[in-house]
Amino acid sequence: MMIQYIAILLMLVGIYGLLSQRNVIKMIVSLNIFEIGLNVFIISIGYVKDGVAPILTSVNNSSSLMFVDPLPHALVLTAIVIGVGVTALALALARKMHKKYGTYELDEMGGEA
Amino acid sequence: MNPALLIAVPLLAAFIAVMVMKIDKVLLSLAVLFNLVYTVYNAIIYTNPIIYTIGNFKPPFGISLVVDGYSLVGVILLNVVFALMVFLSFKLIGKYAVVLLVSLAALNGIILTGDLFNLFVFMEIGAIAAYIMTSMDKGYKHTFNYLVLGTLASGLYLFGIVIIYNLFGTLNIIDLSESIGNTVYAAMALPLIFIFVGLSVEAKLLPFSGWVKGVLKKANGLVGTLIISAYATAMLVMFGRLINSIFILSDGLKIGLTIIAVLTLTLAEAAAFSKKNLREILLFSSIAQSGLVVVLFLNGLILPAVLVLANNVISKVVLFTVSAKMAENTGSDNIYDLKGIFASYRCFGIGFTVAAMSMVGLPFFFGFVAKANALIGLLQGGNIWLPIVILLVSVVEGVYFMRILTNLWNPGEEGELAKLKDVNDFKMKKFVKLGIVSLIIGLIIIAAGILPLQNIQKYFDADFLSILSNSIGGA
Repeated sequence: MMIQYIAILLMLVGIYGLLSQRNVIKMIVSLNIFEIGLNVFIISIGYVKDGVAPILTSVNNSSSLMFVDPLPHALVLTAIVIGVGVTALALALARKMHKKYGTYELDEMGGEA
Repeated sequence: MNPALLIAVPLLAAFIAVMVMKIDKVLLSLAVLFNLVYTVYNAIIYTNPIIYTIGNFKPPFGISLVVDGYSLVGVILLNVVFALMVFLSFKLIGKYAVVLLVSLAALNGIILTGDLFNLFVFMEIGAIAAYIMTSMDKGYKHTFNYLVLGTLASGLYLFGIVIIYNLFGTLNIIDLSESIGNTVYAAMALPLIFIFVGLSVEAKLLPFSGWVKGVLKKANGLVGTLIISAYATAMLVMFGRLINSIFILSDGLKIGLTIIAVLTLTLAEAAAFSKKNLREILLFSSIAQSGLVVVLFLNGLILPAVLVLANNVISKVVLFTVSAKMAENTGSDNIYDLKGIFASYRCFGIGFTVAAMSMVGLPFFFGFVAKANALIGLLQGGNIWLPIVILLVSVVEGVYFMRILTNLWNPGEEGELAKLKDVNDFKMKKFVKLGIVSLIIGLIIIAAGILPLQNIQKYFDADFLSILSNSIGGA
């Protein structure tokens, strides 16, 4: 599926950003791009061609219909929450670093005492 | 036994502690004590494995917790180490009691969980707690480094398990091991490598352990023992579970992983040998021991691996806490600055010495039992090179621990009798508790080195999968 290649591409962009950037904020953004790529990949796993949403409604009230797999969606929901938590913590750390060194550039911070 | 309590009680205590900040340390002590007593009690009455299904949703649909002999030994080790750490470094906890409670819940969860995605969630919770704890000494740059590496690694782990979900349609470890059986799937190589990398960061294998040095070089006793002992226990026990009872590694993958683990063992021991600062030596020694444990797990030697792990984490609690305490009081942990300190403070000197001897693996100490079992197991498996490597690095280990001990005990010049004027006044404060506890742990290490092993064997005898497989529901 095309979308899986795009997801993997996004993850690689994130990893490239982590490797090439030395700015704390840009690194956090790269980390988020990586996570988004991963989440898109997980959702794409559950895709079923011509599948409907896995909810019983008055229109779709038979369990014999083609459903998309709901489990990856649940996984992604958890993964997003965890990602937000980590990002918040990383931003808090970035703020502390800026307070201590006056810069967001890792190279300008010098050695840790 | 209800294993969910081991996770729920610390979490509940954490929530109450957030609301009532004044009693947070009381809650921490109570939760740690509860976990310790509950695990030990259940280990004594243990007869056969239990699958605890949360909310009565039968696996593979619901989350299940697995209590067999292996995970029971794992949680005992973890909770003993955690209790020792909290007791020894109680003064250092400060405002971090809530974080410690969350990490206790997460680490118990890592060992007990029966679901790969649930493992990811516990790993992330534990990792977030670890990031907060390591930022305690204001070394934000190193913590950020750790955070980036850790998040990337757990992302790769998640990537790996999602590919496995796509292949087998389940993430429950019992269900998964039934689907996999004894077949080696070529498609499993990629997800297994991702999972291995994801776990290696927390398990501190080279080359994924770059963060350890920065985070722990100046760490206090609390953070140091938390990362070196508690986290290492949980991650390595889970690691052993994954490679021994779920996934079947292909020969090529096994050789590759063994090479990484052996390189970790040798390079980290060499790095430890070249260092002069106590805490740096200890952190490299821990990395090396992680490598050794993974080597043993890869060769299917579960009992020796757990023994080596137990020896490492319990000894390191004493070694690291004493080192951090000395550094805190004297302002340095260089072994030449601390020359002769144990001559003045014999009590924790003896505890430190016993722990160090056990790390080296001298007879009459627990480390000897662990290493002997490991070597015998490897030789019985027809392996010649690994025992040789392990013996060689043990010699290196022996040399640097003996160098530490001779320097810390002898105030004078090397090879000469010390004179009274050589003895420095180190002015240690509040060392009585640490001294007594390290003495007691020393005694336990010696006792464990002499007593026979039959008692622990029963926890490893049960065939994990055959007993548990009939608990799978649904069709």
